[in-house]
Amino acid sequence: MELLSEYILEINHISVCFDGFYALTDVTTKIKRNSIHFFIGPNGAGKTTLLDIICAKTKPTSGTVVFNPMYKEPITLTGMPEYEIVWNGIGRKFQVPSVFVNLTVEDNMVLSLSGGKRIVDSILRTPSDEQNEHINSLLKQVGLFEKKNFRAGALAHGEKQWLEIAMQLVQEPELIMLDEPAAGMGKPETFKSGEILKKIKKDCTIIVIEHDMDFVKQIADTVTVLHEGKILMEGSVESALADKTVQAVYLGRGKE
Amino acid sequence: MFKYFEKYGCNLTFSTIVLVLAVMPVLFMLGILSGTSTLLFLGKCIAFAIVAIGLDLIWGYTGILSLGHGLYFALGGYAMAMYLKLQATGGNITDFMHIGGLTELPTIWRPFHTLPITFIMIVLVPSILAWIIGYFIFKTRVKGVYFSIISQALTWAACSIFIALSPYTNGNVGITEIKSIFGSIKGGANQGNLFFLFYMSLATLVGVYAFSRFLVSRKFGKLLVAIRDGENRTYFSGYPVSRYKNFIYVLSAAFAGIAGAIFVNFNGCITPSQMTISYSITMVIWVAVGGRGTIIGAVIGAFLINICEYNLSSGSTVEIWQYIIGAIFCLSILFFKGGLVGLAQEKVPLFMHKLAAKASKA
Repeated sequence: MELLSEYILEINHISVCFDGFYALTDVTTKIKRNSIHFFIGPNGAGKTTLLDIICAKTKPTSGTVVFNPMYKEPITLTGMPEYEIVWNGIGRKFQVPSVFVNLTVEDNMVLSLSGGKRIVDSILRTPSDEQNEHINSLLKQVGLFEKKNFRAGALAHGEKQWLEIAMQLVQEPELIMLDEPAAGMGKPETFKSGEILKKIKKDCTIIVIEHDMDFVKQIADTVTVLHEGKILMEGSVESALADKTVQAVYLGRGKE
Repeated sequence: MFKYFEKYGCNLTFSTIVLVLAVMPVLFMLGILSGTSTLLFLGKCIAFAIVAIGLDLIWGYTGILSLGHGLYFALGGYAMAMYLKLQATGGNITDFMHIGGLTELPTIWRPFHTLPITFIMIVLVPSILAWIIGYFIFKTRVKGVYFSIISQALTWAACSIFIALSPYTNGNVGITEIKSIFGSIKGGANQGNLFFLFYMSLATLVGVYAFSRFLVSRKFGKLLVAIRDGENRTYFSGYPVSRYKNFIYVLSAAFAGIAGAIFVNFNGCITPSQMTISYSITMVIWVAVGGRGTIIGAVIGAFLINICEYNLSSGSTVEIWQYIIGAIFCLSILFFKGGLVGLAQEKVPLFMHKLAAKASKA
């Protein structure tokens, strides 16, 4: 079967209204397969809300989100329960690191493995050697292998971020959404995350929300600038940086 | 050796408890203990331990505080008592039905003529009710204190219904004048029956404990903890969380039903007071004091609190007992979140290290 579409995700006319306040107004965009797509914009622009809609944490007032998995029929994500969206190959990392604090780093990873999500499976099945190896190699990649048996709650903030990213990767998703993955990381660590993401890009598509412009410059293929719930502009990093309106509403504030 | 204890401490403690219980009837036979009341009491404690294990699964592990497990406990108890009552009347209509104006045995009593169906009903009735309640509550994502309130309200409603339907349930008096499934257990002549019942109950406790330990040692158990600590993350790791919650809720209700059935055998009667909210909350106190999220803590708590109550709540302390237990509950919630087991897990290693340090110095 041929590849159906070069776009993995199609966001069509999404609007969200919270008690009369429009968090998003008629947002339409497409995400290219195997790219790193950034959503940037000032606080309250609706970036996180958009991710919430894609993974069904929030229901849109109108509009649809369509997912085009590789070699499969397109799937409409709107109206699907969140766990089924995960089964279809979409992972999400939250803004506040949310790992299972009372479980070990390894158990966190085991719970995130793809498949075996039914009750019977989780009682009877144990991870295969292959899966264990996958977990170990990912933990080595993010530098948490030595802390495998640590309680996740005992990790530092940056390490929790790493762990949550690794938890998404172990699911081998086709689309992965990262909400501020670099928050709480130092410059060298952020750079390292960027390099890892570039490597992963070969196998999946990555949507990132981030404020760190150096990070954006380092890895972004496409940038969508959101402002007050609307798309301000979309294009390459360079064009976004050069855009006058973008400078005025967002970038300008950061400059001294 | 120390590591070994850390790993198998729970099972070792449980084995010790089981052994001590198993020796009890022998002590009676040897004449060291006399009077069967102690054994009847311990039998009830076994039932309490079983319901406490179920509560620990749903509260300690999954973080859902149910204040209505008395309902499931009583349902199991009534199912058992209905069978035992029919045994006592020879399958005929009972006195309270006559008084209530019934002329023949009501349909809901009919399945309880035979023991196998009764056993099925003991598990099935609480499970189905829990499934229906759980389905609607968990699907609509009601959680936290709202769930606790709903579970309490439903228990209250059920209790009122059981009192109101007195031609069928004998209202406030409950089902009385019944023997155990192995015949009468009162008096010296029937000691054999009592011992047999006691050991069967003990075996049930071991089974329930082993099954629960098995469940929590699997990925399933880790997932329960994951739901407790980060329900959202669990959804977005691809788990149908509400189904998991409902499963564990139904399982704990089934345990409560089994516990209720065992309780009736030792108690010799069942009344709606086992269905009240205060009774349900007492069960929660056992788990809290023993230690949440450990299974063994629930067993220890159930035995300890009941043994204290048994020995202390006689004579002048009857009135004070409620205050004591309330105070213990508050203290354990405020200062020892992990209960007794948590306290031991924290302090024993420290103590051992100190001992080791002293030994190496000397």
